[in-house]
Amino acid sequence: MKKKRVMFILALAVLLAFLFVGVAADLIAPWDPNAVDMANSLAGPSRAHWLGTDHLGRDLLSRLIYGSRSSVFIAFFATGCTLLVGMTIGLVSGWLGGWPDQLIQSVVNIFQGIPSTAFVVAVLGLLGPGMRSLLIAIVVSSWAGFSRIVRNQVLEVREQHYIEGARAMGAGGLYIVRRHILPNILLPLLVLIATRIGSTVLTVAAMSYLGLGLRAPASDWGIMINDAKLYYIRYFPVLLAPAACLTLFCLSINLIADYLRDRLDHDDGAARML
Amino acid sequence: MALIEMKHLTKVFRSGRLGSRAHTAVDDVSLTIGPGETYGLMGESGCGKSTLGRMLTCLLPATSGQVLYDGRDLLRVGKRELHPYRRRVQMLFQHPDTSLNPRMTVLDSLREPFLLHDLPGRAHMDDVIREHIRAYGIQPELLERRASQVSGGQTQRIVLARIMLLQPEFIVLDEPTSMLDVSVQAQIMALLRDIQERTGVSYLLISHDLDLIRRSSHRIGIMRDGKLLEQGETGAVLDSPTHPYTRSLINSFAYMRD
Repeated sequence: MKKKRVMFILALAVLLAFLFVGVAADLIAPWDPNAVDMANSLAGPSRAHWLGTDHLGRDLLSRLIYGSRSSVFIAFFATGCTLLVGMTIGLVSGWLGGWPDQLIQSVVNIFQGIPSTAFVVAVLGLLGPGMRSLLIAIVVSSWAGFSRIVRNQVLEVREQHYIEGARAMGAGGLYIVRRHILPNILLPLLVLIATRIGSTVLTVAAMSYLGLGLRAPASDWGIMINDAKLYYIRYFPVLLAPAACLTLFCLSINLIADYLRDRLDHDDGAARML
Repeated sequence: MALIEMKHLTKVFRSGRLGSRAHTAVDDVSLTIGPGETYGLMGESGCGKSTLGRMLTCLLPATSGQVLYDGRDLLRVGKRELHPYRRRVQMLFQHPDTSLNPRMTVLDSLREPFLLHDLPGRAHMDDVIREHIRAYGIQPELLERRASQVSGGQTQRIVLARIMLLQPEFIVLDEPTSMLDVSVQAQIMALLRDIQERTGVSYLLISHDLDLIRRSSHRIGIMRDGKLLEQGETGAVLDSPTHPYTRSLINSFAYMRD
């Protein structure tokens, strides 16, 4: 447990560092990420360019810094939107029960049956590439899983006596959802949110790599990996740097999720089902 | 004069596709409870006694029948009209470990009646609560604790204190002590009796424990498979039971005591 705690703090520090770098990209980045300097392309580390430059002579470190802004923020925002959509539908489904629940769950089943990567690609193909399409694609392809878990949690919580007690005292549906249901399902959901942010970062990177997400001049880890595939033999860091950032970010968020899950299990076993 | 009167109360649960399977949990039950009276409802688990309690407190809609309170059928009044009755009819549940929201402090739980009803002393509810809980044997330190850190017996006291903030006239006690140690059981039953003497509240005491019911009820009813087989004064029913099931129940409890 002691070791896990240290890992958790480290992982949290890494996550916060990525967030900070993303927010303060304009202040931190030594170069304009799109400043081309062909004379200096694929150069090794130097005083001016700490990590060297890419095939167009752009500063690798600055591109990584701006990349963490787009990758991490899209992931957080997309997960937030998914959470909002999935949680609302799950709450409604679980709280109403009966035929509305059965109807909603049938739709959820259909959405969950489609492989999510194929789904994202299909939606992006339909809407065309871009940030907005990417967000829509991620929300449409992953709200169902969220809503199912929220709904199952609601079903479990609504059977508790304190919910019946509140109803017997005359509490309405909104009061009960706000005061009794949400606080009791939010903590277990935290684990799910954390894992989801990790996988969304990967989806964003994968789609940008395929040219379906953000487009070329933007700095994004996925685009950087795509750019690197022709040049990594001449200067390996162009591939290594964005890949390492991606791995580090996903690793840290998964460690955080793992630690939260352990803590919750310790608490009351509420995270068993996640 | 009856305080609450059930007439031909029936509950059918439907399950399966389009409700193809039906299960009658409560079958044509009629009974009345007077002011200040304890009515003991006795039966094995699964006989429908808890379902009956939930219908009385309007937690579960009835399939047919009436619940008359103040001459009005509670099952047929609108949500808004029902609200004032919510104060007057309350329920104490079987499992103390889920009776309070585990993420809230005891004080927060005790504040809920004030948030939901226009009770006297709402403006300074914390003072009212601190004064109120003394009569229920709740130490003031407990108020700051989370519900998950409170023992079963204490939880029942807290829930009971919260119910009494609403000044109800009728409380359904759904196996209120079955999850508690014997010594704590006796304390809670004594507290319930004390409350009844002080306020004249009526109880519907639901239990499978014949001894508990015998000691605390003025009148009793015996339930099996959703049907009320027999009812009357406690002494009369237990001394000269008319239904063979009642007789076998009494015998099995007598056997357990020997």
